[in-house]
Parts: sequence; C-alpha cells; structure tokens
Amino acid sequence: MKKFYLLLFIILCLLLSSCNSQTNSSQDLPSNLTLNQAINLAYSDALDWNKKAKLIDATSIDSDEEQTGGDGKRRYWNITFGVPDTNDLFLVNIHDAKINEHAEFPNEGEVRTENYFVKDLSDIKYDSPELLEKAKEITELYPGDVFAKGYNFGLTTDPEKNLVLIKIVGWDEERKNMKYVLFNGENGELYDEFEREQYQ
Amino acid sequence: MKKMFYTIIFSTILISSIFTPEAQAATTHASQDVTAYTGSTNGSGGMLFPNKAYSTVAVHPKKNSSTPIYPYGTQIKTKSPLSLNGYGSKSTFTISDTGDILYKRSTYWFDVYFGTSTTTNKNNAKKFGEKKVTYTVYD
Repeated sequence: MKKFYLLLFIILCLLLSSCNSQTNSSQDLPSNLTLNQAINLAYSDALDWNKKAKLIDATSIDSDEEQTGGDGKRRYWNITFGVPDTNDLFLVNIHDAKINEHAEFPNEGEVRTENYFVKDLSDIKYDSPELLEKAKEITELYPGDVFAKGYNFGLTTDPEKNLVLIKIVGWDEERKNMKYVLFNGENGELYDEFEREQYQ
Repeated sequence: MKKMFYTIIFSTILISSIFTPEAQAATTHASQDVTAYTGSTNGSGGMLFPNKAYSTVAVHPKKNSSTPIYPYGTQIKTKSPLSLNGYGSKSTFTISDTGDILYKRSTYWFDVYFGTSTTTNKNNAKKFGEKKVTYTVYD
C-alpha cells in the first residue's frame, strides 16, 4: 500500500511538472509575430516540403477577439510558398508563434515564373512594426473594429516591376473605408496608398 | 498489484494527453454558393491591391452581427478548381472583404473578385453566374 501511494505521488508530480513546463513555455515564447518573424518561421517548414521553395505572399489573419497589431505583430498568419516555374503551392498557417498546420496545393492555378516570388528573404529589409509607424506618419490610419480588426499586414510581389511589396491595412476614422498603405519592402519607400469602401 | 501499476501508468498517459495543446484543424463546408463580383474603379483594386483579381473573395458577416463569418486573411481551398471566366482554373483564395449583408446566399457563400468594373470583367462575372462548391478554410 505504501508503494502504491508513493507511485501515485510520483505520477502526480510528473503531471504537474508537465503542466508547469507548458505554461512556462507559453510565457517565455512570444505568441505575436511580426511579418518577417512569421515568414521566417514558415520558411523552414516550406523547405522541408521542397528545397527550392520560395515565398509568394503572406497575410495576417484577423482571428483575434480583440483589436491587435498596434505593435506591428499578430498571432495568426497565412504564408504561401511555391516553386518557380511550377504551379505547386504550399500554405503554412501559424497560430501563436507556432506552425498550426500546413497544406500542399499541387497544380494550383497558373505556372509562376521567378518574378512572382521573393528571390531571397534577405531582400525584405523592412518589417511590419516600423512600416506601421511610417504608414501612420503618411496618413491617418486607425485600427479596424469589426472586419480586419486592429492593424493587418501582408506581403506580395509586383511581378511586372519585380518588387517586394509590404502592405499595412487599417481604416479611416469613421471605419467606413479600409485604408491600404503599400511600401517597397526592399527600400522602405512608399509605393502606393488608397482607401476602399467596404464591399456591401 | 501489477494490474494496479499498469492501470495507473495507462491513466497517466491518458490524462497527460489532455494537457497537450492540439492544433486547430481546417474546416470544410460542402455545397456552398459561390458567385463573382467586380468593384468600382474608385479604390476597389485591380490586379494587385487591395482586392486581387481572381485571388481575393468576400464572405458574409455573421447573422445579426457585423463580424465576418471568417476573418480577414483566411485562406480558402475549393475541393475542385473553379473555372474563372477571363482567367482559367484555380482553387485557392484569400478573404479580404464582406458582402451580401441581406444573406441571399448560403451561409458559407463566397464571392470571387473579378477585378474593376470594366465591361469585360462585368461580363465575365455575369458568365460565371452561380455555382456550388465544397471548400476548406485555413484561419
């Protein structure tokens, strides 16, 4: 009987320490990532899929209950990769600084040439926090309250001009129009900005 | 005593699995309406931003709410490729908008952006018409 209680005590200690380590882990690691942090996390997964994988685009996902993104970071991301001169895609879905899931989409859409891809992640010299601040200096940008809450971020390429574009998404003061501020991701210069009334 | 020992070990493994965080799996919706729309030339976007033709879609807001049925940035993957007039076939889209606030379509309907409202794009959207599709979301 004594051995039984001793065994039970040891097992309970192991369980409790397992719970504590998971709690401590989640407290130590950031759950919000910048655009570049999300891309770099996803890229390692993409390389496991295909060593020739290159980045096509990235977007934050507004799955948060509250408005976030004020610091240029978000909890949820979708990052898409492909292989130049193929139409194979690979999606990496990130939750709380971890890869939640990934999915392969072979033979998806058109064959993409090199100019649809970011040639090298080192070409992306700017990140969402500093570009958010820059966007706010350029235009009055407010966090969304219902759709695309807070501030959202994304990356894509302009295949005709061979540019990496980073987009900062917010709203106007009345929350009637979404506002997009686009930057050249390599030199941080303003590429374009515009407003759009939300489609009804 | 041995039976007790193995029972406790098995129970421990079972209980510890409860504390293991599970990944959130993608959700699939069957037989949902899909339509096409074009946007005004005033800031609705062209091939790239903010709505990317043949790449971005609008979804319903939740009923009796303004929040979308799926959030901005969610990726949609249809079970079979959609034939998009003026483009070709594809099956991946990103949610960037909301629409059909009167809920005339199925709950998980989505509306594919066909570009600005040029005559060609409007005709292509009209030809696309209404279809039924099964799709998976990644949010």
